[in-house]
Amino acid sequence: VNDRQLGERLRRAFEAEQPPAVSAAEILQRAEATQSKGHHADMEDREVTQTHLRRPALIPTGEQRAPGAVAFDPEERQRRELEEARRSFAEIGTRVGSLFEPAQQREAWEGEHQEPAGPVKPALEAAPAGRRVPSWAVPAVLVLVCLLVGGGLGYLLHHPAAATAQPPVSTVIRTAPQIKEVAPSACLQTAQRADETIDLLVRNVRDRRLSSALKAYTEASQACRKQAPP
Amino acid sequence: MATGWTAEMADRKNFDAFYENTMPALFRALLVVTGDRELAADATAEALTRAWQQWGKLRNPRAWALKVADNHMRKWYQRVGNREMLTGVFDEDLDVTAEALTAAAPTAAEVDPDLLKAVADLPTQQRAVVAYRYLLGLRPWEVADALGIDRRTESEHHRRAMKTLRERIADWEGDAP
Repeated sequence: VNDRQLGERLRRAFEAEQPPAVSAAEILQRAEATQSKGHHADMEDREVTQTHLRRPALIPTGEQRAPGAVAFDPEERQRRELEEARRSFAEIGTRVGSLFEPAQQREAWEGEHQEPAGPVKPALEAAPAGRRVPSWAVPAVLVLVCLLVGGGLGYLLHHPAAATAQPPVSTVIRTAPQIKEVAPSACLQTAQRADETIDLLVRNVRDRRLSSALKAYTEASQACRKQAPP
Repeated sequence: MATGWTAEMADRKNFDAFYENTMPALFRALLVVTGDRELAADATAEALTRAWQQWGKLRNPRAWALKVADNHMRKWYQRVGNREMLTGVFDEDLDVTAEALTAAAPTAAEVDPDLLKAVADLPTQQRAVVAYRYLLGLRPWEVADALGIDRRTESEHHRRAMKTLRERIADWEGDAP
């Protein structure tokens, strides 16, 4: 038996299989209905990015249905969609619920929401446990990494010295006394003259002593300004 | 005005012919691949609806419709929440059992049960290649394009599938009295 004969045999076997009883006119009506709703307005010859499973099926039910065609009325489709949506939410809830719920409640909830075995279920169960990474884990890790990197960069920007090699702490302590800030003598004298002047003012002395004290303070102050670094 | 109307009528006539030729074949091919009658019917209707919306722009409507149907099925599995099947319905993980295919295609199972069982036992991608080549009548490069695989890979899938089918059928028919 060659490939062509085998293919012909396959074709013959499935030729008797009745397709859904949908006419071209019904397809055209459906296309117009979806276009009037604004769907597929920008549809190009590319990958499909939307599903339109909420639309009612065009396969007729009851007496209109051809023999062998599938019963697929809008109510059945809606029920099936609701079932699938509930299963999807249940799965998300199982994954996320562990953060908020006690383990016993979650197990009880899962027990109540056991799904009947469908064509999709075995593949879901057959998947190895190691591959099931929670959907929130990747964004959470990314946010954590961004926070750490941002914190590090902020620290380096505000403490540039930390980015370079630092001498040991003991060295810093030893060198600190060497950097001794000493006020110029003129400034010290200014402070002294100021004290004397205030003293005279407080004691309400308003004679030549106050005049000479103020003069001495002014001179000392000018000398201080000259000596002090800018 | 008259020209536009004439063109529309010509489009409609061409689409009707395309529909008559393609719809049953596409449905049967998808039936073999998915083993799900409802999903195959839904994907077929969706593909042909979009084909009409794009009619006039399509160079190869049959291959384009197959691609749309393929995307529709992928989205369906994505929608039902099976994260492991996001890569597509043509993964090796999604195998159709002989029971499921028999239930989905009872008439074919009655006509040639051995062949149906052998086809169901094939890996998904090999089954898809066989279905698209022989039931939908696509050429090898069109099948490769629709499945998003290399032509040599498609050819290898086809070779292995045919070899397996030949061996299985020979075994079963040889055992028969």
